Amino acid sequence: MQKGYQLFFGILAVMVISWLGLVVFPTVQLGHQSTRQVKEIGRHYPSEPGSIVLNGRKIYQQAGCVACHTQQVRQSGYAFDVVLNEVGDFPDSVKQILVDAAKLAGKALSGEEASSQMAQLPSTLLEGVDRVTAEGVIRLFKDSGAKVAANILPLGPDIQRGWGPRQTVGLDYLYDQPLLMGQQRLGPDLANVGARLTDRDWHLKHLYHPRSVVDGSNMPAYTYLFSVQPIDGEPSPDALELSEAFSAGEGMEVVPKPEAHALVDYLMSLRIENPVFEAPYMFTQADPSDINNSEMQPAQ
Amino acid sequence: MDESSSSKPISDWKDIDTSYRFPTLFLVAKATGWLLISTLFSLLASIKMHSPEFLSNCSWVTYGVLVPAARNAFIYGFALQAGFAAMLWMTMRLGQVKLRGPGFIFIGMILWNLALVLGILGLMGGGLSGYAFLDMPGFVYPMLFTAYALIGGMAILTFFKRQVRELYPSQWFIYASFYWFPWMLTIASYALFSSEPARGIAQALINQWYVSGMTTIVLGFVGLALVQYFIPKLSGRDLYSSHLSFFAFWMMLLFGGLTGLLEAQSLPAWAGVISSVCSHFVSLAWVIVAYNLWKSLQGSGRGSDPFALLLVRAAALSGLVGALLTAWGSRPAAAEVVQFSLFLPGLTWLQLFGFVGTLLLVSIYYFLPRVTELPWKSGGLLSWKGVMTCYFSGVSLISLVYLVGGWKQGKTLADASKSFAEVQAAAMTFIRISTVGELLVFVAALMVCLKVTGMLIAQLRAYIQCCCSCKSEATQ
Repeated sequence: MQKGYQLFFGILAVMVISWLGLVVFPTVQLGHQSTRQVKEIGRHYPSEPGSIVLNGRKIYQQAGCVACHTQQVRQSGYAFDVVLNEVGDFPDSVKQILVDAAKLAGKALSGEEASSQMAQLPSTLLEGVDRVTAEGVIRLFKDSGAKVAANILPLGPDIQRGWGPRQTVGLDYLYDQPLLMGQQRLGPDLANVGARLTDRDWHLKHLYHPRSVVDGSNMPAYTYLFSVQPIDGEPSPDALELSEAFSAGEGMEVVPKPEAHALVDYLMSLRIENPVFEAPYMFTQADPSDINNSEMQPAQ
Repeated sequence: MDESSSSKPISDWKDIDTSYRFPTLFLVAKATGWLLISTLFSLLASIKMHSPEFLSNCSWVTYGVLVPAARNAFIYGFALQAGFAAMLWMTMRLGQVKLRGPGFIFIGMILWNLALVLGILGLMGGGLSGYAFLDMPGFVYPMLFTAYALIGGMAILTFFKRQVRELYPSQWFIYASFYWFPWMLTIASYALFSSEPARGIAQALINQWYVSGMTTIVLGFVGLALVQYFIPKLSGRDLYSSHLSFFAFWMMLLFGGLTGLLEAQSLPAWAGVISSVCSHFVSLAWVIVAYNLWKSLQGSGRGSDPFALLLVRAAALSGLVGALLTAWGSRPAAAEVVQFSLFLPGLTWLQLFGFVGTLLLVSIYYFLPRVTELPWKSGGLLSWKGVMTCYFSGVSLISLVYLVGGWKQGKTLADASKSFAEVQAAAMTFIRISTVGELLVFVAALMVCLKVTGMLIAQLRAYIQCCCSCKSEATQ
């Protein structure tokens, strides 16, 4: 390669390939997503954030919270709970199926145990089994008249820590401008923080002094979002109720500035509490006559 | 590729070097200034990681602000400016041509630094954009592009006037780097900051495309160009095979722009898979480069400057290890652990500070005395040996503790039975150790800054003296 123009056009060609692959294609594939009706919550998801939430988001962005907090919940797979909801008209055959189903899942079940399961409905027949086992068991109930459902349980450390009921998907970020997904977990994930931590005062105290509510936290204090002021006559109704170790001193009070309220509004708006097509987690009613089309399908 | 062995008379070399003297001195002085700022921010951020009360009452210096400020100061302030100086040097020395349009380079340099000052201040003052490597506010990027057009334009003009038409491997890499950069900057900043920016999750892909392009191609190629320039130069032997370099060059260029996306479930599945495959190709290209360099060095002895050669080898090793670990970490099983942990910043340290940063500092050490015809003031703590030992040991320490600590943190994070407090505790010891490394790097940057400033002052003094003597001769 001795000529400048060979280098010039060669690099240009490679650049165009890279641009088409990682800029144009994703923009075409993902750039035209729109909100979707989610029947479980009876509205379109996600909803457009209001101006207060957007203000809070701006503060989150400016303070660089994204350097330590992700907003992405990971999921390693699914498990299934198989639940008996109705016995139907043929209790004897259902009882026998229950015994067979337990065998299929590698357990022993006596006739009495099966009867007691049938007496207390809804009854969880199997817990945390894989898809193949759940499908097999549901198939056994076909034609028995019983109604059996499979509850979808997302798995993974993030889910088990309670950071969210399901994994995050592209749709969750539809209104995120700029995107603040984060790459580092020096602090916990915040994708579902609004649903996890619902106490507004807790959030305000946590921002003012994280160690006042979480022992050993290494989050910095965002004291610049609060006014420390002398109590003038009556204490401000908005003032934080802090323990002695963290109080601002005798005759002083800590009052959140509007920015602190906006940031808390934003944090409390962060929720992924509804199933979406790509990440189902609520059970759907089983219809043994049509296993493949209904009960194992994700909620839409 | 040893240009000094060519038949060019010494007076011509002097002309060439003189044409380049002040642009390079100013570029390098500003670059080292930004390195100092970057390492200071990085040191403060590192202290804040384990001492959250430190400087907590100021919105300008939160951890989340200091980290991007340090990163942007390093990339745009130090690495790219020192890279421009290296590019100009290679264009002129290897092409045996005088620098064209130094005035435009000056204007470009001023505009570049002005944009950067505004950008870093804007970022700290509440304009943080939230996009990695593009953290400065959107108005900065057209300014950077204009400044770059002036500097790069003059480099192209000089390149076309070159007397030696043959292009060496180090030139392919450095030109590819500085040709790729404006394209990528324009596309990414337009896609993310225009009036109709990319929406939703597409932003993550575009941002990561920019980050990986900057790491692997723009800055990575500056490092690869320098390593392929210095190894033959310092060992006194030709590069073993330019065919191997040619193969590695196209492989890295083709696949390097598509790496860096870990399989995240919010992203489409193809992104993680393509990225992982491409990371493996890039690491293979790195192995080829390493083999080529190793063969070039075989039996070469200690070379003309053993310490510089040792540093170049260490930097190349950092680059190789960085590329191999990137490929390894992109495999789904490993990505599950390293994602969201300190492992990824550890890789960035290894690749940007360990590989590119070390080579850029070696290039400053090597080029400046030749351009200015002034020797480095040596002795004591300010010797280059001391400075570079301090720098490289600091960078190695940080990379190591982040990689090991990140792995441990990721393992704890992947174990649901561990609370988040335990996850934090798993990383904390490593974070504390990394502050020592940050301090070493900061001290090294301070010493480099002092040395370069000393050189700049000496050069200005010599220039003024020369002007005065010329004037008095004229009046006589």
